[in-house]
Amino acid sequence: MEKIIEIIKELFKPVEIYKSDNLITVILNTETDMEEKLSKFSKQISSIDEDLSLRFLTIEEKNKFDLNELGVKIF
Amino acid sequence: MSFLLCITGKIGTGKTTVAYYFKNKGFEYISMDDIGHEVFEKKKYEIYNIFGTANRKEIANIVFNNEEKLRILENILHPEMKKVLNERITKNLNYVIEAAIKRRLGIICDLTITVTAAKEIIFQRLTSRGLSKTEVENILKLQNDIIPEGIIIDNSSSLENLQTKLNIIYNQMKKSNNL
Repeated sequence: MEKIIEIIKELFKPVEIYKSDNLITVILNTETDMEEKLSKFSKQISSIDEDLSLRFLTIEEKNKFDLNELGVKIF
Repeated sequence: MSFLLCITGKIGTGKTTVAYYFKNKGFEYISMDDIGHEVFEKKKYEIYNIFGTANRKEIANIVFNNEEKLRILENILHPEMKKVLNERITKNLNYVIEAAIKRRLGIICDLTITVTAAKEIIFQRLTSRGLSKTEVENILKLQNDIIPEGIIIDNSSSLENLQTKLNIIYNQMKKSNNL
């Protein structure tokens, strides 16, 4: 999982990352160029065998959640 | 070959909105809720014999407050629902299947999108549809096994944001699945 988190940090420049069970929630300042970033991301993680689900939220979207809904802050 | 796209997620997250996006892109839309209603009608006598009523609202009241009774109802409905679903998927088309309880039904999909939303938003949406807070809490409790899988899309903000996210997913799907 650490490898994936590193790739996420490098590609998406998140402001925060949360983990709850197998769900990783990535908080972004902006969702611009997401298509391109996701395409690069899927190529980079294709060789990593990890059962994780990812959710991307903007800060505005994140503010609608209770923090305990997002899980543990890991970044 | 048929392509099965499943839309799952808890109540009030916006599964139907997401499923309709794909319906508008030419996918054949199947609602497991609708199939559930059809099967309920077919199995009315069996349900009446067990629950003492076949009124859908009364049954909903019973099962959303009692997990054991929910499982009994599911054992009556789910096998037939899966059978009906299989009968509907007969052509080489792209299908979008809206199924909150996809996992419980054991539906195998080519791709799954899980729709999520903040609890506060779910409560807002459902109470505006006439459900009480307690009813929403009870339903959400029974949906604890709906956990995110596949592509996760959050629908806590605007319809425009949702549309943008869906456009990204759809473009990716077109590239990788030759839709």
